[in-house]
Amino acid sequence: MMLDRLAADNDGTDAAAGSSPVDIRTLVTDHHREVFRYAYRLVGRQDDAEDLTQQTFMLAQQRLSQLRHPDRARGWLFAILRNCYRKAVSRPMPLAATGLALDVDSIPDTVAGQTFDQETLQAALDALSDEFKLVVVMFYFEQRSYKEIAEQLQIPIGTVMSRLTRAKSRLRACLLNPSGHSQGRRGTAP
Amino acid sequence: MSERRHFEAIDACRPNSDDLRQPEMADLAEALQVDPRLGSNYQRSQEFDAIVVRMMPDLPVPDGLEERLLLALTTSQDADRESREAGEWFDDNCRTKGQAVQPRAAREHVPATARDGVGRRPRGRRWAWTLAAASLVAAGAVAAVLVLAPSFTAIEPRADEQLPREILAWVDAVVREGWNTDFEAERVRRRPLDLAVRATPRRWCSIRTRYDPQTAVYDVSSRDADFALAFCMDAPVRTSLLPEIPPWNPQPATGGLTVGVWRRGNLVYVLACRGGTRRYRELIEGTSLIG
Repeated sequence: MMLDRLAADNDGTDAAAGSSPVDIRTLVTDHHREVFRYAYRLVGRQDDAEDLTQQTFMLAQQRLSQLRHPDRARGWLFAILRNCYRKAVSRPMPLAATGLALDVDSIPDTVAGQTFDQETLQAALDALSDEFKLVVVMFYFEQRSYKEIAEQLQIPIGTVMSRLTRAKSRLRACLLNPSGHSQGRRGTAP
Repeated sequence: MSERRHFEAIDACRPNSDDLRQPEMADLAEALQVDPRLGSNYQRSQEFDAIVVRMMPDLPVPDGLEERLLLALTTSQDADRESREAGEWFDDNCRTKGQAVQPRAAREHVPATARDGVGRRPRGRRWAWTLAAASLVAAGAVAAVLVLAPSFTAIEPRADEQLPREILAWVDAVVREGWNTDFEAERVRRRPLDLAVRATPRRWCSIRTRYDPQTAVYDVSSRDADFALAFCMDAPVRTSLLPEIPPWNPQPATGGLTVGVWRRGNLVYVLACRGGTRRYRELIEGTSLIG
């Protein structure tokens, strides 16, 4: 299974392992907040994020023996979550191509002074197609490098870089020029 | 490196990281030194990314989430244990019956051939051999019926003491399977949600049960902490007197669930929810008679 392979290869797990040095209750206590927040960034709704969080820990419980390095539990849980999410989403939303040079140049001179609220940020994320959203959340939330993202998602590095650029162009357009872009909302911030 | 590639490389650099020192970024690092416009873009991109990185995890977590997760995990463990116990019971019983039949068949066969020897069998002996073979076949058939009968007769879930135990295993299967929101799928059309259920399904999935390998499961929960699932199975052969409408009086099940079972034509429905009889009746209100 892809889930097993991803977990075994990239997140300190061992598919042939017999037992894990951590128990699931500890994982829940230590990581449920981060897992929920990560899920929320992907699905944009509190109830769906809770469901995704629960599904993640249920699967983690079943595969707990594969987790050999407790210090990498966070990444392992995120990998499970991403797989649950990818399995759940069925209708990818196309993202309109945007002029890359124009978008980069459109960043205001003083970005540091810009502010936008959580609702606007989530709306911008929700407007992204699922494949772009995954890359963006891995980049910003997990702070994964483009190489790690490519490895985790098993896609070429060039594809990751292209998706990052297009998704971030869209984000910048939504967040730094909100009046010029209308975005659909699928949920409200918790 | 083209301008487009430069922009992609800029966007691939994380804020406050050494990404720019990676070998693949050598061209960009060089270009940043000689192209002020590119350098400015890089700086602004880094500032923007730093803001988003700060905001990303800044979300409140719902009250009681940890407790709800731990409860769900405990419930799932209970279901696993009960499924294992049920499986062991089935294996033990099947194995016992199979082993009881085989030695008897062997005993009936061996003496007949041993007595006959290698020469021409007398007519009386041939009749005896035929009779023994017929007995063997009959014994095998009886044994097969004894072993397989439970799986053939259990073609319709019944609201007895077994179903509530199975429900938790089904819930566990739902968790493993994951949800789908495409309500146009063929599997959903073949096993639609009964109109007697007064809730709008949020999502569905298909799981294997021993009654129907493509059992449809609908999430009919309405609130954040709500739990309500409707299972729909294609079970054309009736083996019990299930009501034609949702029973007004449900039965309790393991894991704090409340369960009601009914049949509509060839389809059998199982509604399982948390919140007791009150919540169950909310889900079927106005569609059922007292039963």
